[in-house]
Amino acid sequence: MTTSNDAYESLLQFMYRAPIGLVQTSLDGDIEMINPKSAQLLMPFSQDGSLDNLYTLLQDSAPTLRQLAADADPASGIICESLRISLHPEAAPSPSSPILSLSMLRLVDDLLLAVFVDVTLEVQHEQQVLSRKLSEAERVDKLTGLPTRVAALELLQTALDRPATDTRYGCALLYISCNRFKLINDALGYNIGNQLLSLIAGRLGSTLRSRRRDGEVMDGLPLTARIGGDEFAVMLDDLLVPENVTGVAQRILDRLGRPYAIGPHKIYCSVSMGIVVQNRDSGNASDLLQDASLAMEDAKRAGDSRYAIFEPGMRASARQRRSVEDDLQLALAKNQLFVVYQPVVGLQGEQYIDGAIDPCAGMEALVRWQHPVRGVVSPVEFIGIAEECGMIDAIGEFVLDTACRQFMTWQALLGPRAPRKLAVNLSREQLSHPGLAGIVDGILRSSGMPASCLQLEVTESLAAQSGSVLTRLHELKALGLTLALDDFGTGYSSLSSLHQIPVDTVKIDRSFVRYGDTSLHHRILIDATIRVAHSLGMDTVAEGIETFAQAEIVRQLGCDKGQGYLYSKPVVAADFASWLTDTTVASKS
Amino acid sequence: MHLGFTDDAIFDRIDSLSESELDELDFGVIGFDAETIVRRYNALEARLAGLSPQRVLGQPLFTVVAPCMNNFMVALRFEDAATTGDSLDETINYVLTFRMKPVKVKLRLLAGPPGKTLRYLLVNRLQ
Repeated sequence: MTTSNDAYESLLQFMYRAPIGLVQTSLDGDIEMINPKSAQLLMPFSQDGSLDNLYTLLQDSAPTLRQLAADADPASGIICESLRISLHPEAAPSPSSPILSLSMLRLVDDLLLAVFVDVTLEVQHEQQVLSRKLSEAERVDKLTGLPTRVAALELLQTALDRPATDTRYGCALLYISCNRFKLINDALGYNIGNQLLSLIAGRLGSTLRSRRRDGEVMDGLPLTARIGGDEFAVMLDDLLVPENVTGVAQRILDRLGRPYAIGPHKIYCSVSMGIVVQNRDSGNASDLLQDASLAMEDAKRAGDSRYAIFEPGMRASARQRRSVEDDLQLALAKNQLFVVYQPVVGLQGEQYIDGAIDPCAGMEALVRWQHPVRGVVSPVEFIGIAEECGMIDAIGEFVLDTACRQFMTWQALLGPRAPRKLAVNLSREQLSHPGLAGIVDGILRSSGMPASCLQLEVTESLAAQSGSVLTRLHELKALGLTLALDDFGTGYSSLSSLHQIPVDTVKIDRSFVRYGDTSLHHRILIDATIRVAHSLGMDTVAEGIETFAQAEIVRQLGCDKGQGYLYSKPVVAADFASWLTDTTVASKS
Repeated sequence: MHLGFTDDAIFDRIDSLSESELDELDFGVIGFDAETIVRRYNALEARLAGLSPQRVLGQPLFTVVAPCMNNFMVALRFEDAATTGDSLDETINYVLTFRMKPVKVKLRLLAGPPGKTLRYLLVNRLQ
């Protein structure tokens, strides 16, 4: 008897001291036996300070437990094995957010045994391992094998913190961004896009590897990283003369600007580059990268395949641009944008001599911004920013839609005295939008405007740019509208290549017209432009006519139409209607 | 002097009681030092926990004597109070085990200001 009692006491002691939680319950989950370890582990789960029923106790953290017990296979008796139970599932595991592992078994017909183990430390360890793996993934770019932005910033900071052992050498950071990479992804797919990025990374590496420090062989590669989708950074810390960075920059631009062969494709992808040369005022790694990025944006605005060296003034202009950007978002929402119209008058015809004009030839729609503080803002100040921040499509649509509706209103009101043609400008970004023709078509349909009355204007530098722009121009022409080449004479194309651009009208830039009556050289250029345009079946418009003498010269040279302050500055719709009426009366009198 | 489990400002009064006075109380008292070693253990606690004072005194409270309280609700609260130097007087509902049966109790956690050698756990069994 004593032996059996001793054995029972030993068993109790064993269970009392067992380092795992042991709980015996009825089939309904009522707790009948429990060891101290269980109380330690389970009390935090108790909402009312009791440990009466296991299912009630764990209803929030293991809601399926009762069902699992009901569904358990009678042969094995296993209800659950290593089921993880956590007190605060969203919190990181810690002593105050413990995680338990529960295994439960049906012992005999009416008894269940639950075993609890505290796995908080194990889970903590698992999460640390996982986060280390994730952090490695975060530091190395899978596609190119280059350090990522996170890793680059750390490496850069380490380099900046290191005391300069050899003050002969200067340090510079290059921020490299691909131009219009999205178009490549859109046209050829992400797979080709990714292959291209790998090739760019490789070419960047080989360009830098071929450098030699003034007669010395470099120890290793300069730090090269992929810091964004189509952006790379290079840190050079071996510049004997800081200004030498421009030589490296130009070599990178040249090498990366050469075509890439991927399968049957020959792909061109130019880059723009911002450069920061480190000096005493340079901040930390993040500031340096930010400055380089500002310079890169400046280079990008200046055109393809260029570099720009950071200057402190760029920070202020970036702030200014951001403020314009914010205001512009509001401008669209609050209807602060409006359209003004400048008459385009007819100059040719027997009756149009001695200053007489045809006032109904057309009008050009131009956007303005009624800024609540700055007053009326000219498009020169915001179109570039709108292009960068992706708002140009919305603004372009607003202008086209407003102008087309206004044009139709005048058709209805003025009949034969209404302007016959509406000219609207297209921006660089709008032209790169593959859906442009569809948008224009939609506006023509909804406004009821005949396509033949619409003239879309592009600058010659844009029209001469690339195959995709030409494709877009042909798509627009297919709608039945006409195209004009704006600011002719200021861009890169020449008279000899005019026939390659699918336009109907050439607009002669104001810089030629201004000297038309005083400079023989300018007069000859105007004459030549008009002759070539006419020979190609195009008509001509002289822009920026300010004096009667200028008007008379271009008329004599055969220019078809003119616009400028001599006739009218751009005016709001109501004033345009009055101008039409006044001018028509004046022409007839 | 009669002391009740819920009396206010109880720490100093418990701390000043002799062993025999502690044994007269109608709730359990466990006094333990900065290293959590049990230094005082009254008669009622010994009887209701089924542990003789000889087996308990000199043993670490949260790992050997009452591992069921070794969690953030009890042990960690004493530890936190010791770290910050704050006094502690909190009462919580809890479940202890007695011969593998759950026993509902109210626990009163007492720690005096810095300088007091002992801390106390008062145990009031509800059934």
